[in-house]
Amino acid sequence: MKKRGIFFSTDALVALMIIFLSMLVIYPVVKYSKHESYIQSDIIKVLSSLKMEDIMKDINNPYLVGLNSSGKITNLNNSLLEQIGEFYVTNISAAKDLAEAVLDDIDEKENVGIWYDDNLIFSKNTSSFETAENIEIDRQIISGIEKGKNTIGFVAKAWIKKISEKETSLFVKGDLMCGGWRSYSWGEYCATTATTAVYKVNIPENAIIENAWWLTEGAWTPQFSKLYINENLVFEGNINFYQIVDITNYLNPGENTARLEGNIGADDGASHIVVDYTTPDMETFEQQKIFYFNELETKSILHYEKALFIPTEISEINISLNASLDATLSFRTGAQTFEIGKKDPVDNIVSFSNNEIENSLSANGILYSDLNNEYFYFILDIGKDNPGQTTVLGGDSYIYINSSEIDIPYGSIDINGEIPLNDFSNHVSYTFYRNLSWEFYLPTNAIPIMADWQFGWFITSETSQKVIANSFVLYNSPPDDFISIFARFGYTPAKLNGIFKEGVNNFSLEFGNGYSVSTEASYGYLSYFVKSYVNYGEPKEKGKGGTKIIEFEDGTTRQLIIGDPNDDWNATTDALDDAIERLIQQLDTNGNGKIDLILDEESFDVNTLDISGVPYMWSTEIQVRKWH
Amino acid sequence: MALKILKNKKAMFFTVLAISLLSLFILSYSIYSSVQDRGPITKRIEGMNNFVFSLERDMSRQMYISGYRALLGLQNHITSEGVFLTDSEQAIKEAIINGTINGNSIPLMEGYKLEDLNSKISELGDKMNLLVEYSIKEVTVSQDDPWNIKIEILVDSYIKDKGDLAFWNRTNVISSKVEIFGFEDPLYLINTNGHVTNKINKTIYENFVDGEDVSNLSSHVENSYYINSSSAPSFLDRLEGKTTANENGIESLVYLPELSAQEIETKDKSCVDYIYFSDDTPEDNGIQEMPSWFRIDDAHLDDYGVEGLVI
Repeated sequence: MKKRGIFFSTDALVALMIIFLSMLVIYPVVKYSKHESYIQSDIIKVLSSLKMEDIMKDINNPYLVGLNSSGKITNLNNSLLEQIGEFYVTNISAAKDLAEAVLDDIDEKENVGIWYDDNLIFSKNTSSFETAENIEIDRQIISGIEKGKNTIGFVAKAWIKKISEKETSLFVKGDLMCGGWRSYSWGEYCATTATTAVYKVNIPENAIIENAWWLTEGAWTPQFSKLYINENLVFEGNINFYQIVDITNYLNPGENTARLEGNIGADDGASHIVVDYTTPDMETFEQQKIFYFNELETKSILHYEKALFIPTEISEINISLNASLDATLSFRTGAQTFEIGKKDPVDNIVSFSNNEIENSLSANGILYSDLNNEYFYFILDIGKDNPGQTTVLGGDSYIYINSSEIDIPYGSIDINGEIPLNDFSNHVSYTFYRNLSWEFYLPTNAIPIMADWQFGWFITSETSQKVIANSFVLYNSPPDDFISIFARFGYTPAKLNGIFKEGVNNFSLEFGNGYSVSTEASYGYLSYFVKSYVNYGEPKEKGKGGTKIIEFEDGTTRQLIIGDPNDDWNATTDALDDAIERLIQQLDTNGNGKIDLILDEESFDVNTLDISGVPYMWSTEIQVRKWH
Repeated sequence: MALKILKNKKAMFFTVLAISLLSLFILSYSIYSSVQDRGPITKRIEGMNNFVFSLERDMSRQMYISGYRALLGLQNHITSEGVFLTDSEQAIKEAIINGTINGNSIPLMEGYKLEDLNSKISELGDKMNLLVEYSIKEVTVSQDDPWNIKIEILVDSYIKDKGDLAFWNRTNVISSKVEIFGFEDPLYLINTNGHVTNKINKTIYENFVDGEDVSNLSSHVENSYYINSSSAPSFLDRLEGKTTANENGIESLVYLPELSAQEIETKDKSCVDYIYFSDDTPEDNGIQEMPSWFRIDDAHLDDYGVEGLVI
C-alpha cells in the first residue's frame, strides 16, 4: 500500500514520457512528409541549368528531336528555361509543348505549374491553383524576352557609293571696283571714271553647265556698260540699278573670263555670276586659301574693296599685288577703316607680309581671331601719287589666307545652292525693299558650313539696320556702327549655337527709311554637308527589304529594289526599309520627300548590311509555383 | 511523528519530481514549437537566396546584351568618324558603363548601359521586397579566343530583405562572351573609305586545296571568310587599326574585284588582309588556277595549302 503512490506516480510519468516522445518523433516525420517538398526550386534549377544541346544529346524524346531537326531551335546554347522563353514570345503553343515534353514525366504528388509572367505554360495538378490554400513560389528572371516583343532584332545601314550627277552652283562674287574715291554729302564713294574689270569664272572640267547668269550692278546708275564673256559681247547699254544677263551658252567647263567695261565705274560690290551645273563628284567643296583680285584698269586712282569671309580661324595673311603704280593697302571691319601701309612697286610687284598686316591690325585692336565669322575688307588704292594716269591691277594679284581646315565629315556630300527669298515688304523703289527675309531647310544630320549673302543695296540716308537669323539678332545699328555699303553678310555655325538648326531656318533684314536691298539683285548662298550613309538604327523585327519608289526633285521617279522585292515596304518593322528611309530623309534637302541629288537608274547605288541577333533588355519573370 | 512526516515528504518528493519532469517536457515542446515556427522564415530566406542567384545568373545575359550593343555602337562611331578607335578595350568599357564614346552618347546604348541595368535590377528586387544595391568595381574587356569578346565585371552587391530578415553582401565576377560573327571588319571599312565592308564570318572550309583543285580557296576568297591566325591582328586590334600579330588573331583574304568595283585602286601584293592594308610588302606569289590578281606571301603558303602551287 505504501508503494502504491510511488507506483502510480511513476506509471503516470512514464506514460507522459511515452506520449511526448511519440509526439517529438512522429509529428515531425508526418509534417516533413507533408510539407517539405522543394519541387518548385528543383524544377527552376534544372530548367535553368540544362542546355538545349545537352538535352538533344541525352534525350530521345521524338518531339525534342523534331524541334531540332525542323530548325526551330536556333541556339543550342540556350538553357531550357530560355528556350521555353523564346517560344513563349514567338509561339506560345510551342512553349507549352516543350515544357510538357520535358516535365510531363515528373512523378509528383504536389500541384506544380510554370508561369512566364502571368501566362501558365505548364502545370501538373490535382486541384486548381485558384482554390489553393498554400502556395510556394520560386522565381527566375530572364532578360531579353518579353511577350509581344522580339527576342532578337535586325539593324541595317545604307550608303550611296557613287552618284552620276549632283546639282550644285558656283557663286562668283564681285567687289566694289571703280576709278577714284571721294567724299560726298552722304559719305565716301567712287568717282566717275571709266573702269574695266575682268572676273575669273573657273568651272570644274567635268561639269555640265545647266544655267548661268551675270547680274551686274554698276558703280553708278545709270552706267553705260559693255559685258563680255570669253570675249563675246553679251550686253551693251545703260544699266539702271542692275542688269541680269543669261550667259549659259557662253561659258565652258574650265577657265572663263567675264569683262565689264563701264563708262563711269565698274562694280558697286553687288555684282555676281552664278553658274548652276551638275557634276559626278560627291565632294566639290574646297576650302579656299588664295583669293585672287579681279583684273582692273581705270584712268584714275584705282579703288578696290576686296570682301572676305573666312569661316575658320586665321593664322596668316600675305598679299601680293601686280600693280603698275604706288599701292596703298587699308583694312575695314564693320565701320572701322585704317591704313596698313603704302608701297611703290618693285618690278610691278607690291607685297605686304604677314607681319606687316598682323602688326597693323594688332595696333588697331584687331586680332586675327576676331576676323573669322565676320566679313572684312582689304582696300586698295593704286596710283594715289599719280592721279590721272591709267592704273592697272593685274589678275594674278592675290591674298593668301592660311586658316584652320574645315572638318569635312567622313563620307559626306557637300550641297551648295541658292537660299531663296521668302518674303519682302516696305517697297522703296524698283525692286528695293526695306524688309526682306530668306528661308532655307537643313535636312536631318546635315552639317552646315556657311550661309552667305550678297546684296544689291540702295542708300538715300543713314538709318537703322538690323540682321536676324533664327531669332538671333546678329547686327543692330544703332548701337552698332552704320554700314553704308551693306553688300555682304555671312555666318557659320561657330557664330552662335543654334544659328543653324535642323528643318526650316530664317534670315531677315530690317532697314529704316533710307536704306533698302533689292529682291532681284541679292543672292543668298548656302553650303552644307549631308552624310552619304546612315548607320545602324534601332533594331527592327526583320531585315528583309522590299520595293521602294523614290522620287527625285526634278520630278522623275525610280523603283528601287532592296533585298526581297516581294516583302512589304514597312520602315517601322523592317530594318532595311528603315535604313533606306533614313538615307532618303538625309538627302532630301528641302523636306518635301524628294531627293535633290540628281541620280539616275545606274548612278543610285545603295548597299545594305544587316546584323541579326541584336538583343533587347526587356525581361520576363518566370515563376514555378507549388500549391495545395 | 517524525517518521510520519518523513513518509509524507516522500510523497511530496515524487509529486515535485513529476511536476519537474512535466515542466521539462512542456519546455522541450515549447522550444521545439519555436524551432518549427522558423520554417517559414527559412523558406523565405531560401526563396530570396534563389532569387539573388537568379539575378546574378541573369546579369551575365544582361552583360551580353549590353556588350553586343556597345560593339554595334562603336562600329557606328568608326563609320561616322572614319577613324579607328584609340583604345578598343577602353572604348568598349566606356560604352558599356556610360553609354558613350569619347563622351558622346551612343543612341543604341540608351537604356542598355550598366547604370540602366542597376536600376532594372533594383526594380526586380522591389518585386521580391528586397533592397538591391549593385556597385560595379571593375570592367575588363579581353579576348581569350579569336571569335569572342570577353566582358567581365567585378560587382559588389548588397541585397537586404526589407523586413530585415537577412542580407547578402557579396563580390562576384560576372562574365559574358559576345561573338564577333556578323560584325564588320574595321580594317576594310576604314581602308576603303567606307566603300567596301566585310562581315566577319568563319570559313566553312577545312581544306582550301585538294591537289590542284583550288575551288574551296576561290570560294573562301570570294566570300572573304576568316580563319584564326596567330600572326594576324585580333578583332580588338582591328578596331584600333593594328595589323600586328596576336595569338587571338583572325585573317581574311581580300577579294580585290570588290575593291575594283568600287573604283578603289588595287595593290599588287599579298591579299592577306592585314598585309594588304598595311605598308608591309613581303615577297608574294601567284598561285596556279587562281586569278592573276591573287597574290599570297611566303609565310601564308602553308596556311592555305598552296605551297606546291606557286607559279
